[in-house]
Amino acid sequence: MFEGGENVNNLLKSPFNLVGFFAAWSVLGTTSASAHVSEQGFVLLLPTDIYVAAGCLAVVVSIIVVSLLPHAWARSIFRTTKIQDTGISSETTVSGAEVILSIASLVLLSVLILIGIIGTRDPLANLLPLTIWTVWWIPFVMLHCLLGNLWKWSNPWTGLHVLVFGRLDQDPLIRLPAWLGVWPALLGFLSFVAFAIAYPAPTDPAILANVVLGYVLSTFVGMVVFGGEQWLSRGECFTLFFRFASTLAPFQPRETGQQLVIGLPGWKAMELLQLPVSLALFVLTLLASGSFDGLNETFWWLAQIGVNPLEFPGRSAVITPSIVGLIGANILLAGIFALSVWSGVVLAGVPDLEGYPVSFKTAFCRLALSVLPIAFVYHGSHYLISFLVNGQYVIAALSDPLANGSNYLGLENYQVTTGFLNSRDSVEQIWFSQAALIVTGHILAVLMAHCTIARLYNSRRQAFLCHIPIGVFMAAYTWFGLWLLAAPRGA
Amino acid sequence: MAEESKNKSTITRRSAIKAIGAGAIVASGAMPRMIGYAQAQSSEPIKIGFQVHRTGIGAAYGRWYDRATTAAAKRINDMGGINGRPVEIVAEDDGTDPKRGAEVVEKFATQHNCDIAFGTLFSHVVFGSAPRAGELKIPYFVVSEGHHVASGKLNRYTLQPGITDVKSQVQAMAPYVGKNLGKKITMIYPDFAFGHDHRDFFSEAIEREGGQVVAKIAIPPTETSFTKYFPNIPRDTDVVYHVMVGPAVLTFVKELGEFFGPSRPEIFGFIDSLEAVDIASPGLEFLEGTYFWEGMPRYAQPDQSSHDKAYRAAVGVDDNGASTSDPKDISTFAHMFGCWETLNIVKRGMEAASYAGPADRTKLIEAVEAMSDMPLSDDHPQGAKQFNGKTHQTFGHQYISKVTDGKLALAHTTSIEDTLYEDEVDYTKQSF
Repeated sequence: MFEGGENVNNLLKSPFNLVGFFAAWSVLGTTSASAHVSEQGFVLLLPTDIYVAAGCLAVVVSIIVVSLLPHAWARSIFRTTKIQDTGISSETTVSGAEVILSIASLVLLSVLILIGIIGTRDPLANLLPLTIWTVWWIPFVMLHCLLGNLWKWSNPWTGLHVLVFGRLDQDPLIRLPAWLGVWPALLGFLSFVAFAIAYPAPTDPAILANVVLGYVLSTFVGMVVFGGEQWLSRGECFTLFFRFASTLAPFQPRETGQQLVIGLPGWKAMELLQLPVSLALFVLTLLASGSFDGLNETFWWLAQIGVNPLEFPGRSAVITPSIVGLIGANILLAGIFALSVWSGVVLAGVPDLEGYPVSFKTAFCRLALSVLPIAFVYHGSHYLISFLVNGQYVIAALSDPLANGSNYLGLENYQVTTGFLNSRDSVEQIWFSQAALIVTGHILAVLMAHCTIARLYNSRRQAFLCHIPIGVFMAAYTWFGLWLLAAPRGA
Repeated sequence: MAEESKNKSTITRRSAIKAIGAGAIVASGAMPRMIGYAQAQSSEPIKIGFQVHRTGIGAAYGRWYDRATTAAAKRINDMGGINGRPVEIVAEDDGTDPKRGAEVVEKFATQHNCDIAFGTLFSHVVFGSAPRAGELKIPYFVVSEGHHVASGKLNRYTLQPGITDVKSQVQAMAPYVGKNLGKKITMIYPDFAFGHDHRDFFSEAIEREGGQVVAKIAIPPTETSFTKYFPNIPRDTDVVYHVMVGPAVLTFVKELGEFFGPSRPEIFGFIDSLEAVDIASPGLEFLEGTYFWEGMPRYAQPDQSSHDKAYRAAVGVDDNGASTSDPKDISTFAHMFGCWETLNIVKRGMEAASYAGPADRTKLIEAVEAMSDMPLSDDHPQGAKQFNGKTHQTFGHQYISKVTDGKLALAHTTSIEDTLYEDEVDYTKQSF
């Protein structure tokens, strides 16, 4: 009776059996109304080849210009100017205001989790997925790059922890071994990205509520067992993530010296001198994961995994390739970056009389920070359209937080629109904004890399030589980022 | 307690609309409706599980399916609900993912206590979900336009009464194309099941009209540049039939225009290629004078029916098929009427079956199977329909529009007879 259906169902139980699935689909004589042509259709009409070339050229010119700078100038690109004394001694100090804000954040998060569990099942009307994926994961991240570390004030843990233990750096029950570095946070971040891009239903309100609740509780456990400050710095990936995002803010307090200073975005990252390898790898993971998040939607990637981009079979069917791809992208990027740094160190050769030996490890760890601007401009660029569309749902949900027909914001006939994706002009403007962000991030990365190298080598010639492979890497990554923007997508 | 929290979990914006609607009925003071409202107050709502493509590749369609569904449910509630009970739409995102689709259907049946499941568009999600609906014995009303229902490959619990299927749509194009545009056709289609269906259904139909498909040009799905395929179009082609989909479709249209220049054959396509795209977009000038199949005319026509007008007003769509809140936000007009009409059919079916709860699900299916003619009305603004209870598939008028001054002007309305074909299944012979 249900012969055809059972066949399909059995195939679906084996999500990776794409060939079988499509064979059955074809036999059943299906037709499919495909996703409508949105902004991508217009992007494909734009002369993006020229734009991509122009973007890459801009980055190459920046590499040449920065290489011609006098050595002392190159070293002082990220010099800061004091705005005022703050009297705050260290970032690890938790003020009363922070405790209050953190508690408020915990209360808010608890309410959102509750909404996730009992509210509407529609992920575009439920405030939990909207807050997490559209507010917290997009503009909140990008605000860190402009304003500094907001997460330090708004994370849900420090307040309660300080209330219970009186301080953040209490004696741990178990001391995290030094050799572990930030590996727990790195693996945590990779798991989070896998959840976001490979799990079939990361926006499902109930599933997300459980995941968020589990993460909040397990972090508290980690803080109790391993010490609050230790676990947040080494085991809790978002504390690290937001710390790195905030290093790009031009105007913020310096951790030592009790000063509020201003400098070129990235100055704060340039002050991080002692970086363990795992922390450098964490930075590269930010870039690799963000890059794969874009790549895995392209026709190119879908062709690699044998999926017809015009009839994407759903996330359930590509869980394994997505996870394998994510891990592969991380290994590949770390490898390519390491090779670039190693080539640079070899090219630069033995330091001159004034110099000192530069180890590959030192160069790798310090230079890894220079990809931070690329990682975060990717983030902003990749999620821009999602933010523009789903941000409208956030407004609707704020007006009706329990989805019970309330209209607290007094919105009249409010309807979400994607009209701006249906016209060539607005699509072109969005594309240029994304591309400009990508190119700016890469130029900033070039400056950070060169400044770092200039500080590593006393000889200008050696610095120039060391910069060549890194420069090639960054120019190539510019191409990759712009290509991603221009590439057709099918997932 | 558990029951209480379950009820709480299904409160939606739509159920509130329902309550507002019910209030309006009381204010109107109409006696029969007041009785309906009084009953509604003491009755549980009819819960309709709305399987919606909120995320994934179907999200653009899902947004409009949601708007049409919300509007249809509000109208039904404004009219007193179904059997005196208000309608509540319980939306669950299926991620345009067949496996999740099956899970969503299961949730409707086992967690949310829905009376029916409804609303799926993408065929692969229908395929993934229909078997589960059959196993759980929950009526599953799809709005997918795929031939899968009528092909006999699904089950008695799966019905498609509110939108016609692609086989009937394609074959109904042949008489007009053959008589008015030309007999020698070149088909250009994406090289996978969707394109193959068009190729097979149309080739067969045009031959019955004395026409001939002189070339079949299959384009690899990953292709984004098409000029190299155009020299394969035979010189004596009268009509190019295209049904490209995906992000490269605008490029396809532009390159086709550049290839032919001012002297081109007639061009005929399916609006699926350009659903929710402004026909007047820069780069699409070449479409002027070409023809499209439309499930329902996107632009209000000079002889617009009152039903079309009322439907647009309810969903919030203007005379150009765009959102009334943003003239650039073009709707998926050729498809979304299916949600509106299906809900009205469900209402009629439940009323005919005196539906009182899940125990009457089979009665509901039998009541819908017993339906045949559905006249043009506010319930059926797309046009009259003829439902085939045996194949669980509806048949109806199709529209052929010509791009005129950057808009789609209706050139021809097919008869329902043009869309009919031999039954391929009799679901009524299957047991429940």
